[in-house]
Amino acid sequence: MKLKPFKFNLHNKIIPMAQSILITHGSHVPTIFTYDKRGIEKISDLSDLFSVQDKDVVYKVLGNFLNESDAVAFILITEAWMRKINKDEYKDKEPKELLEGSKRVADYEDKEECLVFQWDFRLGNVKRDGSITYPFENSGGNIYIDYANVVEHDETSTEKSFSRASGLLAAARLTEN
Amino acid sequence: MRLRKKCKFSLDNVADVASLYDDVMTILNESATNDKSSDEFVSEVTVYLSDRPNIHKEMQPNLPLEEFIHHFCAMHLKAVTMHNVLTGKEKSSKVIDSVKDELEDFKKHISRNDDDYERHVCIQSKRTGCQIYDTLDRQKKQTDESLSNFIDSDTAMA
Repeated sequence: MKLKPFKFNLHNKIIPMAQSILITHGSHVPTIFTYDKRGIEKISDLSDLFSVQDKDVVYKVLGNFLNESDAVAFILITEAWMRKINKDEYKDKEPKELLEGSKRVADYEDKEECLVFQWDFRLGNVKRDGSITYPFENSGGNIYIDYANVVEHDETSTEKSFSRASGLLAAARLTEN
Repeated sequence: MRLRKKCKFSLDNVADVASLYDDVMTILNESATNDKSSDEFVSEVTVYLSDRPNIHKEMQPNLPLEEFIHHFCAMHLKAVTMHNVLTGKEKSSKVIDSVKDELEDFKKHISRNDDDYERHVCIQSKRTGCQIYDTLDRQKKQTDESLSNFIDSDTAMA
């Protein structure tokens, strides 16, 4: 399994299929695609796991699952809330510090709903991760994906990014060793 | 109460275990509704378990009854607290943190080969029939096939 075909699969199969599901059904259940060393693709429905509100617990369990399944790469698809902020606002701040008190992103009026693809690839010396975020609007059950404002982060991005999932495979390897 | 007095009780029987959980939850809910103290809750569980001696015999026969009852009440309250934290009902950060610590401690006592550990993680996965290849050409071919299958199944559904 190589990185280029993995990213091709992400951009040309996983993302279009997930967008199609979102448009057709109005929502997309939390789903993870995992890949072993041979590149065999497996899918898991994470609806039950993501019904737990404490996301620290969710991602801990997910890390254990990746460790157990000997995955070397994964693509995690989730719906989320995002909020655009001024660059100067987050300078020298941790992401959680940007929230006022116990407020969540979902509590802000300028929030946007989005479909997020978090991915990680760690095989041999190749260690890459990233995320792709598609904002969308759900208007009376009709989904409008904002293709013009996709937010993509990977190793080439200069902007600061934070993803709970990006460290999961690394953590799994540490546990193993 | 779902479990009858002096009835048989087996930990291998899911219905028995579910009934026991329901019964103790009923006692706990009644205690909470009537603002009873924890001592009164333990006392009511004592009456319940004394009426059903097979539960003690099946679960921890080597422990004296009184000690078993205290242990049983503590475990039940812990389970309820953990459930409330995991389902988001519990809002107290102190309680949430203590449950997190307990989960961490719990993990230390389970080896990776233990069946309980597998049940603890319990995320099912199945093969999609697709694969990531070493070459882009082969990947493109497979992606085309996957997408046409996906479109076909969507059309069939429509």
